[in-house]
Amino acid sequence: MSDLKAAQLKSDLKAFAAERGADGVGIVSVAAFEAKVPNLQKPSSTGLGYHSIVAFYRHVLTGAFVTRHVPLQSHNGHLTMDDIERLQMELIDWLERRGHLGVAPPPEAAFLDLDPRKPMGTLDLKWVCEEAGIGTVGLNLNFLSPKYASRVYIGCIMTDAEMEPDAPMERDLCPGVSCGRCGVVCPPDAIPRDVALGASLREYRTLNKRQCSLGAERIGIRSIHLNIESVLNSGNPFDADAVLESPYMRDWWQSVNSKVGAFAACFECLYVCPVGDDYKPMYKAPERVGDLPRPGVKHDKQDGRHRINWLGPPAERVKIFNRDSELGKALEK
Amino acid sequence: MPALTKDDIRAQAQACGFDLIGFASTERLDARLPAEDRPGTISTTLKTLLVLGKHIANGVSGALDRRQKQFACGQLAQVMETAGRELGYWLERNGAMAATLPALFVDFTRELSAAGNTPAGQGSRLLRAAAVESGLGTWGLNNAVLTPQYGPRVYFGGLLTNLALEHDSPLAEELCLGLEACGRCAAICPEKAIPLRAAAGADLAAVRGLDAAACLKSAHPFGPDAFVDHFRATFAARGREQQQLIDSASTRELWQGLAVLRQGAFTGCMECLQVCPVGEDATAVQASPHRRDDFPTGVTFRRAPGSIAVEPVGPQWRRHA
Repeated sequence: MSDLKAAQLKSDLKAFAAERGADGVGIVSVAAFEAKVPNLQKPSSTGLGYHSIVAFYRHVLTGAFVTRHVPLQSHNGHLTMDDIERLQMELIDWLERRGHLGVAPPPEAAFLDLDPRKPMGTLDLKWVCEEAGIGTVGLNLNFLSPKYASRVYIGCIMTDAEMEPDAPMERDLCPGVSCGRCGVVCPPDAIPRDVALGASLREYRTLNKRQCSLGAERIGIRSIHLNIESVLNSGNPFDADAVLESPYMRDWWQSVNSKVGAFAACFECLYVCPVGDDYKPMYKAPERVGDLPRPGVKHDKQDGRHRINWLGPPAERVKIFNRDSELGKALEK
Repeated sequence: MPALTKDDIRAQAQACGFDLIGFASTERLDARLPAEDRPGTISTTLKTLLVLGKHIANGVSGALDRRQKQFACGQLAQVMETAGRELGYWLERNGAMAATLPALFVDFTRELSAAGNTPAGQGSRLLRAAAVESGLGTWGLNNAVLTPQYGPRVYFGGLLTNLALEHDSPLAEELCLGLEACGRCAAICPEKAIPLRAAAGADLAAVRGLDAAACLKSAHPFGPDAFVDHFRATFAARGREQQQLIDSASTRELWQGLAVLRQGAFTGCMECLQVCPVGEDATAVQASPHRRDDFPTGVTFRRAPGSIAVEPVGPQWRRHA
């Protein structure tokens, strides 16, 4: 394909993606990205014969974040994720009509054998999106977009079409611990709060994913393991009625049926992130008052460390997180 | 950016595939609903609730198998979620804020069962109340919402938005004929969940109701409550009986409802919807051969001084079983 044709294809593809709902679209070179990925979630462990990755994002309806209803937010998040999958299929179809191949890495599915010698999934989409120049990865390993911060969901497709890659952004959107709001409110305290003084965001951004899952996937697979363990380790006699009548059981049914609660179930770090054009109208809403409890972020810079405090979410929301032992507790009643 | 009008939004809702759209004020709903259903507990920024209706395809009335019906209505619920999302994005492209309201979600940390989602998956209590408040329909004897166009054969979804739009007014006249003049839904209900008896001449408002726990058994035959009940019975059983329960059709149906039918798990029985004579579609719906067997000699009433009762007959599939 000539450079001119490749440039036209890229331009047309981006226009199509935007018309179909993508809020940002960027192109990644498979070869260049392959060389940068430090773990096994590489393009080459995902598929062969592809030259470019088309990365994109779409925001969750902003109105969802001016509500107090976490399941409603989760429901809206899943609808956006469904839309990401629709966009993947439409982009592949668009490329195939022009003689190219495309494949959609699953945005949500992981490799659940959790074997560190193997990839944990196909592509790690947040890094793909950062490489595509449509945003950057923040302190908590969430992808941040310029318009909507991390109040977005992301997707990508791999294609054999060769297109000029976009350049990654030159500056991080996330201010790191100098902001620190996400770390202060994170219910399971999964976000870095103690880093080397003067270090750059890229040196310390990380996430305790197991902890995060207690909030974000609080009726998900780890929570199920922990609840079963809580029953097995309970010193009380097993009482099937007590376990089955726990609200957790019906919620488990619903989380499998609708995904609400299984993924995308905690939004505390999204509420307080000040990045994005949507933040200003959002934080002024009464529903968002008090997301960052008093006294707010406290910085402690001494001994070569930059530490921030932990407060957790507002008191009225504490009880909805961490449902890891409800079934065991049901036996105590 | 020019302000959106109600006509703009109606036109876009129709383009997204909705048959009905109503505009309800969340403040007015807050004043009328019990605390647990008030939209003000969700948001005070989003002051208008767009109530979106889509009718059950008339052809579903010809289906014999429960799973066929559940699949069709589950698909309808899914299509409505997608269409609601598209309308929400359109509103946001035009400068508004929007959030889709889950129609079938049950907050089990606040409710002990999914009974609030009865009858028949039409939508949450909030959405049904908003449909009435915005003049899309009126309450039926069975607590379903009856619309002039589709009777109760319509599902409701919702979008909350910060747009300040004038709310629509409720309909002036009841659409439901009531127990005394019709009674078909009560007579056919397989769970006898709809009022079967009333004081002679009583107003519809004084009679209507639903035994939601009873309705649930048919409306969500393999939903979350059935899931708990089935496994409670399984754990309580012993020996051969326990083995039979584990290896039963119910165990398999529970899995299928959960993973395959999905939204359809909430859209089981729809007998009361299909026999309702209200709606422009009623003639087409009643034309199906087996629907003509619903009441071959009409509804039987038993009258006593000061009261009237409907003879329950159950659905024809159960009569012939």
